[in-house]
Amino acid sequence: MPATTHPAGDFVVMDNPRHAWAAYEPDRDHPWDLKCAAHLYRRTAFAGTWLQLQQAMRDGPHQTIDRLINPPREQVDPFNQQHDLMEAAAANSIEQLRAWWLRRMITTPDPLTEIMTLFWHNRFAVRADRAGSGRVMLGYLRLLRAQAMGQYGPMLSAAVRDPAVLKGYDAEANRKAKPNNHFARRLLRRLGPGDGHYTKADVAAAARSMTGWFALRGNARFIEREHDAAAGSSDDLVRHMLADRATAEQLARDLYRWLISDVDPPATLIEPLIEALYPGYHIKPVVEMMLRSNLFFSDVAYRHRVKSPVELAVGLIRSLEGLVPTEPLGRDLTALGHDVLNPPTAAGWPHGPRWINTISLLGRADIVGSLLAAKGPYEGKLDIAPDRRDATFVLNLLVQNDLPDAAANALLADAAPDHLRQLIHAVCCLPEYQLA
Amino acid sequence: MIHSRRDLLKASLGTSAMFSLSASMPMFMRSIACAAAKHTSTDDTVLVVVQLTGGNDGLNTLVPFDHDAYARSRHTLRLTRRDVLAINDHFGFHPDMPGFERLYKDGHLTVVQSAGCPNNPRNHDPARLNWQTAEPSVKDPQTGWIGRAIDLTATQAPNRPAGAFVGNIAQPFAMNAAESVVPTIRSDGPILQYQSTPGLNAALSVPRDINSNPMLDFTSRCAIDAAAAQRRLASSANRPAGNYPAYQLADDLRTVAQLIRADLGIRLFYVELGGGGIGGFDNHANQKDNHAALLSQLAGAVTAFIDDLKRDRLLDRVLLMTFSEFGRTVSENGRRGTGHGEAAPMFLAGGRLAGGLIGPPMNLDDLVDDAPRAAIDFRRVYATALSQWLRLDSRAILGADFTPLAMFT
Repeated sequence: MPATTHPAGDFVVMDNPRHAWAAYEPDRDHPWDLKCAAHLYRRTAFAGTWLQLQQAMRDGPHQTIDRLINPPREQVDPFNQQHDLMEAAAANSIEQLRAWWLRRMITTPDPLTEIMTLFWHNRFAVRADRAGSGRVMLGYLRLLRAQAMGQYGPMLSAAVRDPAVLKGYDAEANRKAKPNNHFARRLLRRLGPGDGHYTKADVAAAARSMTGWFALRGNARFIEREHDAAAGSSDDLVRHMLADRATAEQLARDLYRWLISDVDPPATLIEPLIEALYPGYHIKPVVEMMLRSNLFFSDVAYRHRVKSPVELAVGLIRSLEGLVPTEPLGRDLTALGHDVLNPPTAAGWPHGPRWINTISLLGRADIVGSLLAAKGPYEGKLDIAPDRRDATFVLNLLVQNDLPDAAANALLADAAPDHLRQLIHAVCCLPEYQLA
Repeated sequence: MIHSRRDLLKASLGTSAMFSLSASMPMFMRSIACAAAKHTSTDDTVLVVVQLTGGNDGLNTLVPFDHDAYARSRHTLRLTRRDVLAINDHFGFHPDMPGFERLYKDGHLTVVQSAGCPNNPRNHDPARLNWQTAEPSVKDPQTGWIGRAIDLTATQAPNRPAGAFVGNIAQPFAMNAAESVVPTIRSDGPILQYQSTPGLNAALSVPRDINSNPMLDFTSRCAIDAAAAQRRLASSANRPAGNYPAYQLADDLRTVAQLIRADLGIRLFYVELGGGGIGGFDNHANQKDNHAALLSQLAGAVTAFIDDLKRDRLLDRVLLMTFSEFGRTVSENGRRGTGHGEAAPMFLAGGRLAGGLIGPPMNLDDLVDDAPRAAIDFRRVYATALSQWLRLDSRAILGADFTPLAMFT
């Protein structure tokens, strides 16, 4: 069997969209195994710990996905309450806020929500250095997190009048006499139907709908006399955007890229997602449908998504059940082009294979080296558990033996039991480890 | 299965627009990338941009020492003919820039006099953003001019990084790219120093079943390239690196020289002097010693860099260019400093320059709000570097045609 081929071959799923999105049921030809469990955890939780992977193999796909989509409230709620407080206290500094978000990704019992918050942040693409303050940025992230698995409509309605969005989109004063077409175009292009699906007149109308909204000293304010009464409200604009099926299509394609594969799908595979999204735009059922699907567990998806630097680092830390100082982590990830509070452009981060080149791979190797170093900014906090000091275990945990035999043997031959950190480091430099 | 995937790729290329094309590019460009990896980049030219943060006082950098208005307006900052390192009867370098005087005499330094930005806001952030985006009139700019040049270069060889920022401050907006990830390399941190182990090298060299996964194909190719690049970097770092002074900028330029020597394919480098924030060149008070120290660092670091490259016969491939967001006022204020101005000289250093002074001298007889007017639009200098040096389509990057300057041999 080829190294990264999963039993559910793509012949079946690509030619038959119905079958592709139908729920995966393990059978003799498509067994539920360590690869499936680790794949699911990479996409929904950055990575799984060994215990989580073992548990998942016992529980099977349905129960495991249930737990990832609906993590126990008695764990999640207290965690969020406490983390929200710490985060709010740190929000006077952008760098601190970034560190707390990374810490949340590493420690949260509800990692899927963070993965989806990252998804929305990549779409809304507000830059902290334009939004003004940590407090404003904190409010924006809370808005995205609260609706990350909720409904797109309410999220969009709140977002278009969020001070971070207004400032970040260079739209802090939407005057009746001077509607902001630039703001309107950004909304329609990235959050609405997308290029080719709106006209100049749509832009002008959208800009007039947003008149009256101002960001003043970090707060959004609606000033009635600055609103163009002949135009609709901001909620009308959102309704108008959602009524266009192209808005659902753009969202479906983005979700596909986030959860399934960096290779663009044929339209036939996107159609069922649009049907599931439109017109209610309920996110959770669509995410659930995608995660449970035959397609998700086929080799169309398997290791077909390039990890971002954040996903790589947070995944490694979660796999090893560690916790490291996240301020230096934020800086190091920024150096790799992933400043998680400052997406480079309105289109978010470059994705997929664009994360990878010779320099970025060396940079990833450096970060992993620092994370695993006995001394330095990460204080030697990341290591393999003492009772797991076994080279084969490292391969199973991190790459589930997706390596060609000769590659695995070369690594094992070179691995000393006392230097498993070196082996972990080598595994993290492999092409397979760059792929989720 | 293979057929099915090929059909899928074809379908996505055929049906959707740029979005899918750009996403799938590395796979489609596999053979091209492969060819590009074999092509050595030793013929490729390199541009190094040096940002002087804060608004450099050009009048005390290349000093019009015999001009009445200069002598009259500068009480504590004035440099006389005896002070400066004169290059002709009218101009001389600041006394702490002997390196620039030597480079100038050797023909390795060209000065574009009176460069500036039209409608200069005289306010640090917006003025610097104008220089960094090269789109002074665009609202809510998304990319910087270097970032756009990186995006354009990256289409030719997606497995290579086209640009890098070397420094300790936040990456300047000039590097902001839409389609490329631009790394920041810190001179004081681990500089891509991970040593590959024999086991890893062996594991990387085992062929993958690339037909089953285009992402794995691309990534494994890059991983092999990266291991080779790392070996070249290590040998480049082990060479004695010339005589660099102990400044941050010198460290950063030494790192740039290492990266050029290691031949990683990076064609656009960016470094900074002044320390981020508002910037050390913003001398509203007690300018004299602070400015002298910065100029000494600039000249010392750039000269060491040029000497280093020259020794390794790399200088003919490299062009260095300085800029600052604006110059300063002719008059000194009451606090032995100067205010935000307009035009200032840009310095270019390299092996293929014709040398000398380009553009009209700073005109102290025709001031706007106490500062010499810009006579050369800074985008003409950018266009020259892009089209005549890097051989890139400057119109695609700058959004308009700007007449290049004649500055190369």
